[in-house]
Amino acid sequence: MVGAAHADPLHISFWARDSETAFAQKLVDGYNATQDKVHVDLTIVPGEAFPQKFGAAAAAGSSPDVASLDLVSVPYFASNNTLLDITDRAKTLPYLDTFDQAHISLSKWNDKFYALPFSAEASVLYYNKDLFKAAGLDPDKPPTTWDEIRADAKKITALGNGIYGFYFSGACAGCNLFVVSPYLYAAGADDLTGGGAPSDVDLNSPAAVSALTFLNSLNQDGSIAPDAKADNGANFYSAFGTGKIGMQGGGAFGVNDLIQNKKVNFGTTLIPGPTAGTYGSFSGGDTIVIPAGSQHVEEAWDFIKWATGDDAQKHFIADLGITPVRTDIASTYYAAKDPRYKTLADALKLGKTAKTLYANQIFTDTSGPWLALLQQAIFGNDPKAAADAAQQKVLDIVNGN
Amino acid sequence: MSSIWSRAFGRLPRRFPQAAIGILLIVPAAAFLLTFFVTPLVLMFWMSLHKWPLLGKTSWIGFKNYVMMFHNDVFVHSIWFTGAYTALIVPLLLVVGLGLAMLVRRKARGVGVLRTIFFAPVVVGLAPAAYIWIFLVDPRVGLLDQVLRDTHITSSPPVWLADPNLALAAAIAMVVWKTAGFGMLLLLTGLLSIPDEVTEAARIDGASPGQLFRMVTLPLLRRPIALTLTFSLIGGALAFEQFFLLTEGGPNNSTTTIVHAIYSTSFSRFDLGLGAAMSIFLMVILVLVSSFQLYVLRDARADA
Repeated sequence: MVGAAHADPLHISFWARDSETAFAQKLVDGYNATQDKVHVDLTIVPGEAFPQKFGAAAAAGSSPDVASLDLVSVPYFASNNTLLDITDRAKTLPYLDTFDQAHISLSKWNDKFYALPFSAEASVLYYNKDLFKAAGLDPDKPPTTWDEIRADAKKITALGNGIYGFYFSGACAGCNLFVVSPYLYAAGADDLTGGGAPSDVDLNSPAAVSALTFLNSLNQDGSIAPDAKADNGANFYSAFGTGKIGMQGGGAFGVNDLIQNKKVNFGTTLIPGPTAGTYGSFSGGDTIVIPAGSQHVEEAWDFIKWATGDDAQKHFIADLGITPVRTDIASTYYAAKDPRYKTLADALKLGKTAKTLYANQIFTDTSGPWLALLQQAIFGNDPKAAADAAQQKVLDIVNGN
Repeated sequence: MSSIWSRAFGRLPRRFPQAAIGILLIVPAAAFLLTFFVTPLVLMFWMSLHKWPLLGKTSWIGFKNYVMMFHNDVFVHSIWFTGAYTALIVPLLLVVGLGLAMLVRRKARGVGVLRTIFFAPVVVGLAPAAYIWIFLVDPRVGLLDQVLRDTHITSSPPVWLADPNLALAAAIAMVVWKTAGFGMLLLLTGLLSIPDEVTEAARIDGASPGQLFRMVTLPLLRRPIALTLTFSLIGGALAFEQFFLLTEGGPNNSTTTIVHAIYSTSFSRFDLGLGAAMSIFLMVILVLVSSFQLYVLRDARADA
């Protein structure tokens, strides 16, 4: 007796960045379990190569059906017709205005939706409570101004024995858009975000220069670990995990890692600005898009609807420690889990981001002006000159040279 | 022979079928070359005359890309850097390769093991070799810094990959380690093909080992040396993986090679037209330098 014929599910392809490895497969499995008509096949692509691979696939006509795109790349791909306009579909979502505003701003181009927010990563400052105690600092009073960071870092570095007060991956372009730009934002460098107009990227505004000068002072003090300069991101999270770093910037991904490994007794706080009460954060993460060349648009949209819905955002994102892009879920369900998650949710609310067509060329390219700026301004002697040189390169890129 | 010939081809003149057979044998290789080398080359030259973004419309701009690339200071610096790197690595590979070849040419016991050991790094890929080196010179977990500290040569070894000159030294060390075995192989076959009678005759004439080397061995090694130099030169000019992985072209683009600049331009900035122009430029330089090198090393019958 033949059983009821079971049609093979339709397979659709989904590309995600390697930074989403922690939850992407579980999310996809969760979706596949809710129905048997469509099976989503996940492919993880390394983050640094993602724009290249995505662009090359689009040019060759072999785009995936649905993809998770770094939010700063969206303007470029939206502007050259690589992504499908999903405005009408997006407007059917009842929770459209609960999405984090920075993500929404980057998901739109010319007032149309080309992407939807998917997963968030807001940057905060991690600090090692044990090192604070050892240096005579109050482990429940993390720094709230730049001067406090500088003083705390000096005291922690004075502990010696390979311990340093501050760390960041000095040779990694994208990592530092995440953890260094908040200092510029906190100083008031709104121009970094712009509104999509190319001339709005401004790396040598007085606010930007003041932030770079502050970071330079940490280096002059000797508070930055010496291997920071050459780290291309490989040690972005593992350095703090050794327990020998007092403070560094990071996001939800690192928080989860550290909580699971239980090696470091740490807290999180909003990244401080020059004066008390000013803070900065970079609202990063991923959006989810339907490439213009997608072969299965309806199925892709169904997956997107599910992935941004309450169930997925709670159980496959928040439960896994990742910050949901739905601020209603982030500030209630997610924040309740752990005070460190609450900091992340707060950071998401005040986070800014960089909206420019040239995000890839300026901010993520290792030969680009942003990384050159950090290397020269922070590890060199003249932050203002470095900023001026970098801004000149930005103008060259924007003017098409 | 002639009976087979006449049975196969009857009355056709002998030269004609031979030429035809010759052409037929070449056709597959020529077709391959035409499809996978000549056609892309022509296409790339065509692209270099346009503004050709990866995604979007293309527009004709003539030779503007060729002018623009010299205003790109990352590219200009990369020309200088690649030249310096090549100038250092080519003689080094030759000297080390020749030294190793002379070491392993005698038929002593265990020399086969030595040959294998020297050649083994050649089969490791350039990318894995770069990763091995990254961890070797890492300040926290690397063997090199540990040795320097333990032998008290220095108590605070430098962060190798953070300094342009030290990073260059590390890259050169890695490439010599990885590639010298190949030169050793080429030069070894050259050494082994020098007839014993020649060296004996020279010795009988009273040549010292130094004179023997300079006036007999080296001239007879002309062709393997030329081959080794050509390979090293091309490898140097096209260097990419080692710097891409070891330093990502940094710090501050100081170790960016020409191919890396082409890669960034084409796939980070999505400017394929400019990338194509840079590639054509590199190819022309490489052809000129290789031709010059082969000309200098040609078999000059003027030497006795």
